[in-house]
Amino acid sequence: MAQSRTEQFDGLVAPHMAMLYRVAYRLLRNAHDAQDLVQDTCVVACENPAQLGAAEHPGRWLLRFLHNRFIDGDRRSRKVPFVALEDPDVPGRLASDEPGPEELLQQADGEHTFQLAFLQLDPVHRTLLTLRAEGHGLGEIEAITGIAREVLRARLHRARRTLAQKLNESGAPQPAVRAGSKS
Amino acid sequence: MNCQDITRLLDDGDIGSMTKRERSEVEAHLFACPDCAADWKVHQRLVEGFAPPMPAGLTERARALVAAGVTVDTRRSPRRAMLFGTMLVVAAAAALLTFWRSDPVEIPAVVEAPAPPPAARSVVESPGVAPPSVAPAVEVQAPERAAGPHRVLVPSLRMAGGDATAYPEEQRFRRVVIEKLRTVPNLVVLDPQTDEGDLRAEYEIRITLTAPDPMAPLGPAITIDPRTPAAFAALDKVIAAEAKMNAEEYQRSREERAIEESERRRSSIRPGNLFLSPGRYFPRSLFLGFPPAPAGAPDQVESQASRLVNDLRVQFLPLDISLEADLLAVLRDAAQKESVRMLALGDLVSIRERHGGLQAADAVMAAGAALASAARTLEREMIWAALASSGSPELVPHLSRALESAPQIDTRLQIVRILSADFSGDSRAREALELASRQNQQQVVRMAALRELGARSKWNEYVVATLNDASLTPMQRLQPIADMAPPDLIAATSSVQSEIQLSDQEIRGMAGLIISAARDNSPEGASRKAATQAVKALGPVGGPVVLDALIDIMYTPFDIEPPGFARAAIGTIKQAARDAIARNFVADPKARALIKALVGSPDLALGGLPAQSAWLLMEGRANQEAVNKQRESPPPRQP
Repeated sequence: MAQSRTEQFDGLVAPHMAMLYRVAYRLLRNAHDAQDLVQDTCVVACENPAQLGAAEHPGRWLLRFLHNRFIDGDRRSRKVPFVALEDPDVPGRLASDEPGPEELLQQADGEHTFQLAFLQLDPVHRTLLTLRAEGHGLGEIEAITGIAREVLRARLHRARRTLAQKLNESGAPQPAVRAGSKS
Repeated sequence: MNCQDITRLLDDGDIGSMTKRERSEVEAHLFACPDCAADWKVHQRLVEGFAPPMPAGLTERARALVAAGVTVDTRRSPRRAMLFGTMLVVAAAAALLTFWRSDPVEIPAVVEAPAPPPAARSVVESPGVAPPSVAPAVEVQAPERAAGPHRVLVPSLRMAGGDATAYPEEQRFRRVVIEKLRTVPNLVVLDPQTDEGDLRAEYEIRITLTAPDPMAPLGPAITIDPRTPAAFAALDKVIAAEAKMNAEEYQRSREERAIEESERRRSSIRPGNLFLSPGRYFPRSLFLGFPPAPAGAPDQVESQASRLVNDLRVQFLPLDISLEADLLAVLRDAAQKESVRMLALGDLVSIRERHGGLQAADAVMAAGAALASAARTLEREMIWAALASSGSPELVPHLSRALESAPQIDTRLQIVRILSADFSGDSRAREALELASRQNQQQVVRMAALRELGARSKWNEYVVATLNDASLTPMQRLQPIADMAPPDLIAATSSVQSEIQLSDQEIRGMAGLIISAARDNSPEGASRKAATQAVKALGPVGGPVVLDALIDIMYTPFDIEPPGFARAAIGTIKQAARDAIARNFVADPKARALIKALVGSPDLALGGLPAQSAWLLMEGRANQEAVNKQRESPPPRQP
């Protein structure tokens, strides 16, 4: 059983890991939570071997699982900062789980503010914006999220507006408008 | 181009493949329409947003989770916390290194490990008796050993931070480390600065004074890189081992893991600890380092090099047969400092974790038990916990003896818990508990043993009755309830809350007893320790009377001068009261105002950074509770 699950993982899940992680990271803006979410998704996906094997687009199917796991709110409960009471002045930077150079870079130039604004969005809005930013069209997003197309359009629009409004309120620096960004 | 077109493009269009003309039209509209411009900016920013590459090992970890049949929503019960203190290496790192045992590298064996001397079990039972200075005879029950000799290359220095002034010191440190490595049996050390010919090695040991990670400013450090396919394969095993461990850790909640991680980091900051960096900053290598020496500290090159080489032997290099005997000799040597002997014990426990056994497990447990008998209160607890963490069945007879003979009640109570929690399947442990429940000299020990044998209600009755027994001293009255204090941060809601009903009068009386116990100069601070534990047990009971009692404890003047152990111990009691408030009265406005006011307070005992941490914890728990409530009644997902 474990063998077949592993084989299924190698054949159907592993090729999409990078994509799953990228989406998870964009959704959560946190490497650890993103890894947890991806692992969750893999575990749940492989608990349903028949569906996974029968999926026409395994990547899309996995994204659907990831979306559901994310919406379930499991991640939200993990956003709470906890600090030990003892010896808080002991440097905590010896282990390797501190922000790395990449994560530090991303905090520059208003990125941090952008992340905060993004994280304040409704989880569904975050998912929709992320999937769209990943280059998925409405048809694919509809298949992944199960949200009807017209509702989807409205929500995408509302998500963008809300995020723009939050950024405006926070006074974050905005990039210049260019019409040629890839999508 | 109008707003609908822009929206359609943003929703479903292929913006990247727009023609130049289309882009011009879009830009013209965006220039004129601030709403669309704002939408466009958001989309653009999301598309160009940073997403780091997938961390190395994630796929392997996920695969291990799948293979292990982990289910997402199952949570493992919090494990019993161990008091590793500063004497044990990071258990995780030790677990990760178990692969070395069975993974000899591709160098043919030339030197056989020396045969151990004939078995003649050396018994160190009585504390204070000086052990022989030579390595003692050990029983041969050798765990699997790696073949040798093993070849390591210590390359010439490469400047990590570019600080030329550090170079001579690095050179010296490197020389000392090489000298000490050359004393390790079964190891060939290759130095390209002096050796010629075949410099092929299984591992490369790079020495620096500055860690390559700017986020982790360290002192002297060693980075170990595998150099052969076998060594690389071994590193893959590290990743697999990490995944396995991750599968276990995965079931914990964020709170548990965050607190444990914080504790682990705290306890791991000691010279020579091993950190595994799974593919983040030191990909495919192992790292061993010291915290930076404070300015003006005396020259520590010799001692640091010794410690590093010792840790290499304990944690990384294939086990050589003399190491265990050397460490056992140190553990038995009453002339050595207690801290040195405790470090040796920690190393021996690490060897057991790494290799699945000790040659002289019985002798180690006997020497450890002897050390525990001689040590001071805090160290004694740590030693017993360390010995228990070895899981060695050879410990049970020593625990049974100490349960009857240890002069301190808290030691006996700790042993009751160890016997019950760590050796529950051992019939000897059960016998010891049964014996203690019948005839231990101390009533509290008898009752605690009964409790562990299942008589929970009797214990609860005893706790309340003792608390109300005016014929006893405050310490005696508090001792049973103190034994119910949460063992660690995770178990913040202790069984006191769920099992014992205390009236308001009893709670107020308990606060008075705590204050009285805090004033008691009993030997080894036993009374103050009971008071501290009682404060921890009181917090989870909750309610306004408890809050007031804890505040009373915090602000009771004790007038103990000058600074010293007594004042520090009373500070600990007050801090325990503060932390109990922060943990157990998260939503109480009075408690919140109190803890918040302590942040930045000049009060040396209660303010400062610990108060800030308490406040952060309080905020975190409040957020957690809010999130939990939200999860219990989720909003509808679809309109």
